[in-house]
Amino acid sequence: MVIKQGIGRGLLRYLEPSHEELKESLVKSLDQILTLLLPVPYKLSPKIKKTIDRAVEIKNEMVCEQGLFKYRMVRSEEPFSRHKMEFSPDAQTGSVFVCTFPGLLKTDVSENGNMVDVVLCKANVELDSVFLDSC
Amino acid sequence: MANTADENRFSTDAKDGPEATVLDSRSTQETYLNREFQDIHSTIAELESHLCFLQEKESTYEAEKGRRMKEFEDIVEERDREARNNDVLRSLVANLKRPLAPRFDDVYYIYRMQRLNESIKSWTNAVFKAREFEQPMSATEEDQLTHLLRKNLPEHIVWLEAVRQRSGIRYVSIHAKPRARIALARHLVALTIWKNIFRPACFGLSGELKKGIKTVMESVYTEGIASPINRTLLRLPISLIVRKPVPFCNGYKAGYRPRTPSISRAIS
Repeated sequence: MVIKQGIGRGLLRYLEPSHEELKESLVKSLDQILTLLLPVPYKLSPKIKKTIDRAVEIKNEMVCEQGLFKYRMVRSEEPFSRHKMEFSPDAQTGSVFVCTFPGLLKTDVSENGNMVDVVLCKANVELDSVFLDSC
Repeated sequence: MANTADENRFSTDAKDGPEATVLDSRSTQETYLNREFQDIHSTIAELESHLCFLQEKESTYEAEKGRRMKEFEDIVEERDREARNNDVLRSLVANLKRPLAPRFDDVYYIYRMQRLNESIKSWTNAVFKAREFEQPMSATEEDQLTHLLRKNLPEHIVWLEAVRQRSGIRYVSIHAKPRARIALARHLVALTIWKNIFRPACFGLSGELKKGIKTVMESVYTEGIASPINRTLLRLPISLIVRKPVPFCNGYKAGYRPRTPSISRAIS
């Protein structure tokens, strides 16, 4: 765990100078995509920038941790599992249609010495009914 | 003194007659003026030479000033460079001194992730909610969106093809319904963050390094220092990796001497 933390810190020190440039390009590409979905014109880039900054901040903190974190996007058509996923509190039916936020898992050692992934945050999903009933 | 002598002569000459007095006084005046003229000339020459000397000195001072200014600028630049280096070194030292220990509890990360999710949910709801839109998505815009997604988020295209096969859904119909539009926007934001920030071992890794470093970190984490990748990459001393004790002959292996007698005692 200490070696993992050491590698993480080393990587971060090496890569941090390029972060601003990368963040800018991410904001630009996501802005281009989301602008096409806007119902009415809106300047999205400040919102996207804030989100990207926050996500990078969280990731940088996790890189410097001893624990090994994993993030899981749920695939479409996967059956809904209440242990790993959650959706907004309204009646939804069907299997997973789209994943709206990745779940957070942490690799841990089980009682018998095996490595297991413990769910810290459930992934956010929307089920078939949100898209198919209304369309 | 010279003036007094001239005046005396002028007065004696005046006794010989008025013409002699005039001539005398004219010649005296001419001599006097010539002398004055020479004096002025010599003074001018002296002043000119002094001016030349001063000009030379000025040019020397100018050159010296330029040299000193250059030296001063160099010193200032060097001072700034050293100050920058000092900052870099100080941050490196601060990082080196940071103890290798867990930093935050899992609860902290759960909270941070939930905050991030809530923030995305909140602004996408606000921006994409509008029930009435200026105009529905055109076929060109749909093509443009597909093209951008194919270029930047190919993972989404995999999703799109899967759901299209299942339901025949299109962006135009998703765009028409606020709820579905918000969900799609959240999905695209989440996918971008997941793909570019969360999934790599560290944000900013590119290409093959992404996969390689991730494998190394996972291997080191799950298998510890005995991991084959760790052995290769970190070049750990073999004594830390090999678990079997080193075979000894008569207490010591040939060419090997333990550091302290207590080690050999402990091993035997």
